[in-house]
Amino acid sequence: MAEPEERHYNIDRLNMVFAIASIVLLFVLIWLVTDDYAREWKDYQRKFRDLEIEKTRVKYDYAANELQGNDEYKALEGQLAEARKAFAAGCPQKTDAQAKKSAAENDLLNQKYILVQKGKKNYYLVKAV
Amino acid sequence: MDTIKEFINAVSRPQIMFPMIVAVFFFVFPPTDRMLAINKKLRLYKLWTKQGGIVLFALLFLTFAFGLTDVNFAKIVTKPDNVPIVGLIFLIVFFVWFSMKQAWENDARIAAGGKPKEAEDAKEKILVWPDLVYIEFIALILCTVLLIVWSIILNAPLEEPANPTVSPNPSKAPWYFLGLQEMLVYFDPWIAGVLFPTVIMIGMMAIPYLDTNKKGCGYYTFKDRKMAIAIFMFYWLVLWLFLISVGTFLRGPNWNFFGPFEAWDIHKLEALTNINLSELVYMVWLKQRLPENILLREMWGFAVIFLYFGAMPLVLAKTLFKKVYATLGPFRYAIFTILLLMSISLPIKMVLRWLFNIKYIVAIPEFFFNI
Repeated sequence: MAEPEERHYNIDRLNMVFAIASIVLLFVLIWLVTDDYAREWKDYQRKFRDLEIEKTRVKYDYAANELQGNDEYKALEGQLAEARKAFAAGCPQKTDAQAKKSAAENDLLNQKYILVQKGKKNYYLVKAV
Repeated sequence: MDTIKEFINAVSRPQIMFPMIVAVFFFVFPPTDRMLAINKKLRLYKLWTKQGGIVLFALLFLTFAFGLTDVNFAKIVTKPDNVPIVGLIFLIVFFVWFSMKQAWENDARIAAGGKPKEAEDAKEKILVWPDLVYIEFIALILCTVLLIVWSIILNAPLEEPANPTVSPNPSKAPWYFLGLQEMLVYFDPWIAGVLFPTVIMIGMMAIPYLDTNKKGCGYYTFKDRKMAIAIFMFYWLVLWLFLISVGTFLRGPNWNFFGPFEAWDIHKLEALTNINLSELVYMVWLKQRLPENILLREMWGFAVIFLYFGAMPLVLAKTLFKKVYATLGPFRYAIFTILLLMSISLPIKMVLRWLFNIKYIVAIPEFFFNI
């Protein structure tokens, strides 16, 4: 620390002013962020979104109810259930070892596919895989 | 109260306010010894003391406080666009007062046989850190606080997307160009928008070459540099800042003039009674129609311009500017007087317009050449 008499201003007082100014700046910055966040139109936007969700839900329920009451739909659902049953009955039951083997084969195929895609430098497809 | 407001509205018409300001100005900033003596007699220099400053600021605050009670005044003054100009008025008054106070104090010290205050300051050396950098840093923080609070409280004056079929009325230039825009009222666009700004810039660049007086270098003084300070203050305060304030606060729809307490009526009608000098000479004085020949028609105007720029510098060199001519020499004197005459042509043109309804001295609309 230099000798106090070398200073033109009273450093203690400057420290005080600096501290107060910094605290004021901090509060003002907080005010800035809150004010920027709390835009008056944000309430309207929030309300609008809620209403939109509500409206869509009502529409969905209405459409779903209508579908449930449709005879053709009911008949189709029955057919689907029967087809699934028939399919399950026709499928041979796989053992664990078989399941593992087919999974490994799948992995290998995937990796080969990735390598081919990399060769094409088509990263988007690779990522999608 | 309404009578006071009406009175202020009437007084603030440029025809009355401008001559009044010019008259008062040269007593407050006296350019010559004789004016200085009157200044001292009237004790106007007391303005540049602490008490004077308090009175000045009290008057300024009172004016604004009184004005803000009026709906029209408050509407114009608190418009986010105009708030900085209100700040500018207070800052300019403060800094002019502050520098003039220092100047008069120094003058008193020199008159008493001492040296200016700056001579003592020059001996004292202080450290950059902490004495300079610390207060600069604190100033930076406080300015940041001010700007943030300002931007939170006052919304940016954004308007609807521009529409070429709807021009805002009044269409105002940015505040720093309002002085130029105000000049457009009195001059053709090629003068007010091209010639004058160029001459102003060249003129400012020429100042250090024209004014080589060493007095007042490095310290505040008024007595040693009366003429220079008076001329500078006249341009700076009257022809620049005053015109900006007029453009901001007193120019309304259709660029009509409105008093500070007057509602901006878009349908206000101003009688367009301005005439050109040629019309004044031929139709009013000689009671005959304008000559067909353009040169014959405008010869009076050209004669006036020639007398003003050609003969006036010579006359001034022999009379009022004898001393100036002796110190500057013919070349610098010529530049100095031409610059001075050009700049004085603005207030002259204003007065001609207001008092004699004269629009152009030389009017050749056939070639878009009007002076």
